Amino acid sequence: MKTDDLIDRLAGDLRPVPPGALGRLLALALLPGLVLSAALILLGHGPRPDLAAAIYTPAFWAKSIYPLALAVAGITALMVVARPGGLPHRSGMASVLIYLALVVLGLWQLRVAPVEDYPTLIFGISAWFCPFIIVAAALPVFAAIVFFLRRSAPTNLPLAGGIAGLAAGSVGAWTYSWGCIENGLTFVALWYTLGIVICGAAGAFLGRPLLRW
Amino acid sequence: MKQLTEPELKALMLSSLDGDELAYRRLLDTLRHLLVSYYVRRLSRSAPADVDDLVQDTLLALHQRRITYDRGRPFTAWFFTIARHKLVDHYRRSGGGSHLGLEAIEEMADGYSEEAVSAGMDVNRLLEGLPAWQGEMIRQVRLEGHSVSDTATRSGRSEAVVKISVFRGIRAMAAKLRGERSEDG
Repeated sequence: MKTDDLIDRLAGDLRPVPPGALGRLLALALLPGLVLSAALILLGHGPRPDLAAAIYTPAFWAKSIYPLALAVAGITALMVVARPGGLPHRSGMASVLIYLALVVLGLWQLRVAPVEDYPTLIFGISAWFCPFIIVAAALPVFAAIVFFLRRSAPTNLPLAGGIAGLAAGSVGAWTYSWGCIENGLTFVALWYTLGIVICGAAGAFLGRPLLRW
Repeated sequence: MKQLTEPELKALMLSSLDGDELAYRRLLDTLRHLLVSYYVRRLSRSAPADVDDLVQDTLLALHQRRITYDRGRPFTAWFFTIARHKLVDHYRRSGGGSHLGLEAIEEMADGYSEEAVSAGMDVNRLLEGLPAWQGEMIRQVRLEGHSVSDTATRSGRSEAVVKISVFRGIRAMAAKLRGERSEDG
């Protein structure tokens, strides 16, 4: 095809793009992903049986706010990597600080707890499958983010894929925090984070094949 | 054609985003010429068809991904990051350049080492001038870093044959290169 013809075609196909369209596209993509992830946890796994009592404990909220804060940082980072040449330094820094804050809380929780409780606070009863539930809960969110990134212009594909994975993993971990029965913050710092990191690594690996343009 | 400045191009882009077809046409036409010189400078020995493909591919990418342009930021920086991405992708696909590391490709795209680009292309072109099996051996032993015995086993030839054909092939390439250089003056 001649370049003149291409320019004709593109000009004929022009539709206005309102300010903020990229953010709206991301929100629109995330919504069904989030609903599916929540359905997976609440219907497939079930909410934690003692939820009514748990919502009065600080540990429950620390466990839920940690992945939620990471998800916010991850979604902010997505808006950066979706644009050509974008490097999300600030979201990266924020995520490290969020993690450190949880580690401090976890160590403090261990300090005030009797030693007999350590296995429960660190490994609980679900350490071996917790990361995999998080990966499963992240999958619909990951698909939504890939849909979004394929319509935007990431230039570093492994980075964009990795951030897609971390953000999806954080959202998945947040929905799972409503089903998970553990109360240990060291548990969260270890096994929730492991689930999120697995998602990030898979995303970085899949970035090039999935997001190529 | 008059060179448009960043503020002029950005104004055209903003009008285009608002749906002004005339501004968009003018923008695409200007960018097309900028892209041709951008790619010609960076694809020294490539066929003009490659430049044309890249120009069209980049204009299409601008069209399909214009949602990612941030109205508060410079337009040319955004646009040439896309052009550079298309160039890196082109090297990755066509360079035959599995022996070229990613850093080398990125560096080339920046245009900082155009000599490296044309050197890589020279090697590929010279290899094509040899018999296919000989070129393949040189590629395996010298570019991809396989051992002589590996290459010998895989090709079903003896190690001595591999060594000699690599040596002779490289000598033939060198002779050809010297010939070209003297023709170039």
